[in-house]
Amino acid sequence: MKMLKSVLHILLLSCSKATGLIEKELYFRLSPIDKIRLFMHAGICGFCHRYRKHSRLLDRLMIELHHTHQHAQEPAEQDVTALKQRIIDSLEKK
Amino acid sequence: MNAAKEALKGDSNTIIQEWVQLYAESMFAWAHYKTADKALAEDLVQDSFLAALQSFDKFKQESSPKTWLFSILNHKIIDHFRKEFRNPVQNEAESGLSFFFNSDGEWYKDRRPQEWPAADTQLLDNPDFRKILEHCMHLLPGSWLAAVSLKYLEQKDGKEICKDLQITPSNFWQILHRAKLQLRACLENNWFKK
Repeated sequence: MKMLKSVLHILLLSCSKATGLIEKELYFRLSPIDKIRLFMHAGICGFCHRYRKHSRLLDRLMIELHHTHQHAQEPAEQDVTALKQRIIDSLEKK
Repeated sequence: MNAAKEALKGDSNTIIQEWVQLYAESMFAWAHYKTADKALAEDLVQDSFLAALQSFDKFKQESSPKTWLFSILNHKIIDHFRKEFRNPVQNEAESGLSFFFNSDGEWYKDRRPQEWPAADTQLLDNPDFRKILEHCMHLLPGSWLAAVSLKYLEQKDGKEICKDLQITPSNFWQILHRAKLQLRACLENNWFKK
């Protein structure tokens, strides 16, 4: 049984390796062999298939969050008067 | 000549002081959001204005002062994350995978990804969800947060970021892998399961 498991992991990857490749493919190109192994693994493992969906959604959320936050004119949650004065003092020393 | 230079410097100083009044607050909010560290955010904003004074002659009138100042601030934030990335705490690199997977590399039963109902980018319209996402990001260990933030701040591809950080691609995506596993689980536990 253990033997069969290790052979399956070599052929089809373990979940730990598969999720690693799911992240890798978002940033780098996978080798053809890794692509096939990942395709087969995600085809039979519902959890990693789900992980892939979540990971891609997270990527889109982070990009969106970055854009919306940068362009929104959100005021600071605290008074920055002291900070402004500190910066002006340091500018005056220049 | 020197007198002319001094006068120009005085002018630029006055202009930058006006910009401090106008933009310091939103710059602080942005830096604080990215770093989750008040004192650090204040230093980054101050450094940005000092850098703006030094390179005032490079400011092109066609871009708005706010855009220019934010690009300086973003560079300061990126520099900070690069430093963080280069000094990871030892145990950060070793932790991560064994929390989610057993020695055969299979998901632990109670850490397997669950179905997320109604999961799409419209979630960001919900301020409560945004708060949870930001909270989960800031729970990441320093160098992991740095890796994630660099990716989304710079919008560069993996190869370029690795070149900038002088690390190997495998090192970079392995850190992102651990970060993503933790971030995903944090969102699941704090939002989707509730």
